[in-house]
Amino acid sequence: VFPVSLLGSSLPLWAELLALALVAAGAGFLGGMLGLGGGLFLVPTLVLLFGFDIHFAIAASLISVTGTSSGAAVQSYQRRLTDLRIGTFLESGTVLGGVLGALLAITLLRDRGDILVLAFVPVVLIAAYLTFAGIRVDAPAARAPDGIARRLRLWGVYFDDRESRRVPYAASRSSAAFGIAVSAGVASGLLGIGGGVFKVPAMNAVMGIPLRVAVATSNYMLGITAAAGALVYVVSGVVVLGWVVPIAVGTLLGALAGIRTQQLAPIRRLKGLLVLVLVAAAVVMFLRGIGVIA
Amino acid sequence: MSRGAFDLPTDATEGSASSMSSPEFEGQRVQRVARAVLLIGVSLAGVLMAGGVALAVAEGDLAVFGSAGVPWHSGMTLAEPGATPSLLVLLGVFVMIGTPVSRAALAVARFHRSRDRLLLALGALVLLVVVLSTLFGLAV
Repeated sequence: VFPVSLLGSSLPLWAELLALALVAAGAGFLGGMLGLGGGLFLVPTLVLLFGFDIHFAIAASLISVTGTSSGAAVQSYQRRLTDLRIGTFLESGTVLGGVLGALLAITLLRDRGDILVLAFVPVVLIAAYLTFAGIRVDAPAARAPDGIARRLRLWGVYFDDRESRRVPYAASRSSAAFGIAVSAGVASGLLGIGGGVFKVPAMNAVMGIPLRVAVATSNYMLGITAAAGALVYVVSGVVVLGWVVPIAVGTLLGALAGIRTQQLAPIRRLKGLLVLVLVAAAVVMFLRGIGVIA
Repeated sequence: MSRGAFDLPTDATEGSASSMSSPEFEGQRVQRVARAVLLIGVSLAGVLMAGGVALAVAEGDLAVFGSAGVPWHSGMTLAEPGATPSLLVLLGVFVMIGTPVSRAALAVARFHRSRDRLLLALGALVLLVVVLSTLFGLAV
């Protein structure tokens, strides 16, 4: 698959690197803007536009997710929204899922990139649906904690600076959320996505955690999950290091810019259009997976 | 939901006064340390990776764009002439990957300090799986 080329063109190396960085920045920007992370846009772009092997695209995406997670955390740190207790509880399952997913991709599916391409399709469609449907609640009604939450003391209070008040919350349906978190981990390691698109609803809609705490805690978790998955890919030799650099740096810068635009009204109106882009990517990935397009 | 319903609805968010009995100043100190680690980690990773690629292009040493894997895994030793760009990029990649893991390590340290055994065990499990992922990658 190397050297790569943008849509089959023969560009000099520096131009290829620049093109990769710009495209990765675009994918990161869209992901940051929608709150999805860059992977959902990045992996299809690297495969369809640049002709990268999907295993490399997944690995590069995971490395980019680790950078994006750290960068986003630096940006939002002063808000103190990451719940370490809930994050650690869910992450203990997610990180296992992430490593299993990565191992699956580089062992049983090492020569079956077509299956990985096809596996991407339902994940992208579910992400598009969740984004479009917007099943998120800013501050869910307070619930009593379940058994696991009582044992691990999965509750807290955060300061809502928009309403200038302290908001208490407690986790419920923890086992269901844990199951979703494990699945999100497998999807992350297998497909190179951060998995926040599943973890945030798991915490927010299922556990009853306020949205802002769920988003910050999900960001904390996805960096660790991506790190574990990325290590499997990097150490096993799937990654060609030089090509990762423009992708990781571009995605990081793009995602940080995208996150800053999340609250702009015109951007919110663009959500429907961007969801269509995701669906189109899923269709093209499907056609690629079944061999209709090369 | 009353406070009595589950005993202690205190702030469990990262870096703040929390249910882990950390005094406020300590929480803020941890928060500052964590933020500094993230900032330094991401910046250092970016500089190392970009420096490695720039060096590779400038020296015409394009091994970093052509051979898969970490240097020792693809048969190239780090002492080999021309390995510097690969080494810089590799270090950058590992720093980038390791940076979010440092947050988990800081969380484990907090759980240890607050003698929260269950969360400490779960946090340690997370770190253990991250370490094992490297061994799994080497094994396949």
